[in-house]
Amino acid sequence: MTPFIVELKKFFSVPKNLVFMILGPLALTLFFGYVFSNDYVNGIPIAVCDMDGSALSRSVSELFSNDDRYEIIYYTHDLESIKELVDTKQVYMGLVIPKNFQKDMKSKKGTTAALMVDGTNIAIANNAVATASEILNTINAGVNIQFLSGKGTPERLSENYVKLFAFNTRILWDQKLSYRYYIMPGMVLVLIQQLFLSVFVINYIKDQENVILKALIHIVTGMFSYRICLLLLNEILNVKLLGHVGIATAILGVYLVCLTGMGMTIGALTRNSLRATQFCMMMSLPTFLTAGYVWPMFKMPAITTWIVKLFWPLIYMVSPLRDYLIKGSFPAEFRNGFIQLLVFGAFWLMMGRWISKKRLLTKEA
Amino acid sequence: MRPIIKKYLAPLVLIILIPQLTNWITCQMMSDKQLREIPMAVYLGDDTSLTREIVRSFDENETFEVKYYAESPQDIEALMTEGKIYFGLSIPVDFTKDMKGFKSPTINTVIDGSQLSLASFTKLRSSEILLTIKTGAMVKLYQGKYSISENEALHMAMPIAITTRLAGNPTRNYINFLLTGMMAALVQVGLVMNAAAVFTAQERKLFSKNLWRYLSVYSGLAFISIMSIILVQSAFFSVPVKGNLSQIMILTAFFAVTVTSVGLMIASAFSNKVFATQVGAVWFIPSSIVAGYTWPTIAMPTVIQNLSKMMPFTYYGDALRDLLLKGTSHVYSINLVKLFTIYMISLGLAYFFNRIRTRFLTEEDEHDPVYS
Repeated sequence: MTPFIVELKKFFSVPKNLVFMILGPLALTLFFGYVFSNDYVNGIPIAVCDMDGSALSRSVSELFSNDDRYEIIYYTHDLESIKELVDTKQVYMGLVIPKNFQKDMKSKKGTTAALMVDGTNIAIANNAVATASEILNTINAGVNIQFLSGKGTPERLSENYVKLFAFNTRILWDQKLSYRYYIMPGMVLVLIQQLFLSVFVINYIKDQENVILKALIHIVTGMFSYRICLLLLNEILNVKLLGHVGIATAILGVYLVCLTGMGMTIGALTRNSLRATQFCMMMSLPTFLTAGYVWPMFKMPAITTWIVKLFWPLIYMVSPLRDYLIKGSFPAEFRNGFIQLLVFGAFWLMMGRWISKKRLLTKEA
Repeated sequence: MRPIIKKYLAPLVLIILIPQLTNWITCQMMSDKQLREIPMAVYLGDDTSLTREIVRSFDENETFEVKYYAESPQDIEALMTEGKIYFGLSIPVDFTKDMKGFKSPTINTVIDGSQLSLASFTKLRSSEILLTIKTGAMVKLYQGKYSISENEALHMAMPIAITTRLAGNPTRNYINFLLTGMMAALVQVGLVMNAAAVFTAQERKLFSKNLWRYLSVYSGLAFISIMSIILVQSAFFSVPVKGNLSQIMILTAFFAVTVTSVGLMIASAFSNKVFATQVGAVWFIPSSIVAGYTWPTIAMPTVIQNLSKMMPFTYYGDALRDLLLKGTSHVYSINLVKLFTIYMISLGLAYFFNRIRTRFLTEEDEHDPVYS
């Protein structure tokens, strides 16, 4: 039997390898796709404090009630209770309509609608505030036209005054700004990374024969899983990928090649399947958090970025690959990052080989 | 290496060292705390004092930084595709003339929707800026047309003023929002993987005797680790600790003990340490997501909402953030009860699985290297 056939047999004779490297990514992709299947944060629990009790104030709260974004679960009449409801997180937002709301508005004294928002979760807070502003600004435009008509301004001219200029927002690539679109392309890459490492490192610890062939089999299997995961994203989970799946898979293959040296290093340092598994699994969250995905790279201090770049390669790949998949084009800095990734891969491959010789051969001896 | 150090080296690395290092690095990375100076491009189809004023309003706002002036609206999209900007402002030809002629010209803004955190924030901020500019222009128009005071014109242009108070995190600080809970989630992964691999064949038989040692050592390490993370974030990165420290410590202790007990349950259920570790990791790594710490559970399907109720982090992450940022958590007591319930159920199951496994443990198992 040729060494390649031997390695193939070793890999495919262990069901756990297939479960972790093929079924694992697919199942987790579907699972997280389901977790993020709703595009919007709807039904945000809110409270309305209507201190005016007028027809106008009731119509304002009705507009909030009719919007899918909110679910009014409390009506109160005093400020303190709404503060308490927000502070104790029984609601995420409180709408306060002050006394004389209708009267002040009609007499053109101006009035204020206050939004008390629980800011601890920025995702909910931003959504809640944005929609509330849209509703209140729509009301403002309507009232404004009424005022102008009251001053004898023809209706068409009133509308022109109110629409002095319009602004239109165009959101590229993901009009809905859904969490699924944002998180899934990166998450799939991290899943493949983690499961590739978990399986490869354990198999490497078991035997260090035919390392190149062994790594190749793991890498190709990882690429296969990645490709299927991308197809799931595109076809089932409605994440429209503009990038070519084949090119993304090939780029992932290069990434896994560059990760191989790191895998060998972990294997050689731990020399133990259990410890290697623990370490590999432990790295998923730190590598994701430090990869410039959650917090954009242009906001990171240069020194910290370089420290991360020295020890883990995800930072070179996760955002550019997400950009490619979503936008269909690699970002401008990808070329430099790709070269740095290759240097990283070569360095850690040599390091992995050197540490393996020292640690694993010593153990075998 | 001394046996005691060797025995606890992995827990020390996984529960304390890696989370502490990650905490430092991520806090350093997010040391700007807010999304500011987001690179943007401007297309000035109409170069007048009014349009330059609009651009200046964006540039002077801390959220945006004008990096490029585009030759055409299409150039803005090209810059966005290249990842050089995240926001674009396109002012059409004859904007000022059309506005003065009441033709209602349109300013187009373009947002990179692939970066959710940046996109939702730029959308909110750009709308606020443009609305302020528009209101200012309307006030001037009404003053001129109707000979009224600035105040009256303002109340006509904007009958309802909107004030927003963000409780807990008024500056939308990302460290405050994200990192304390994320680091606690990381500690729990290290904790559960260690607890899930704690038994040797002999120790399984002594489960009852050793239980308090397991609980105290592993929970103790996790407790120290999480409290150190909070201390570092508070002392060096200005994360507020508004709540009562003893409440935070009690909640953290309950959380640590509960996660340890779940880990022990997994250790009792599976004979293979590596597999038990993997089960623990697969259960706990997604829990920061499923528990709704970033993306809220109210936006998740009901099945997932129910699943999140089985995860200790659901009763810890949000409550901890509330205690730190707002000083109070209305679910504090009930969450302690829920954590205690998970703890009791896990320990009960751990006893049950251990009894069964001990009864059926074979001679071959005892010599299996994965046990030792």
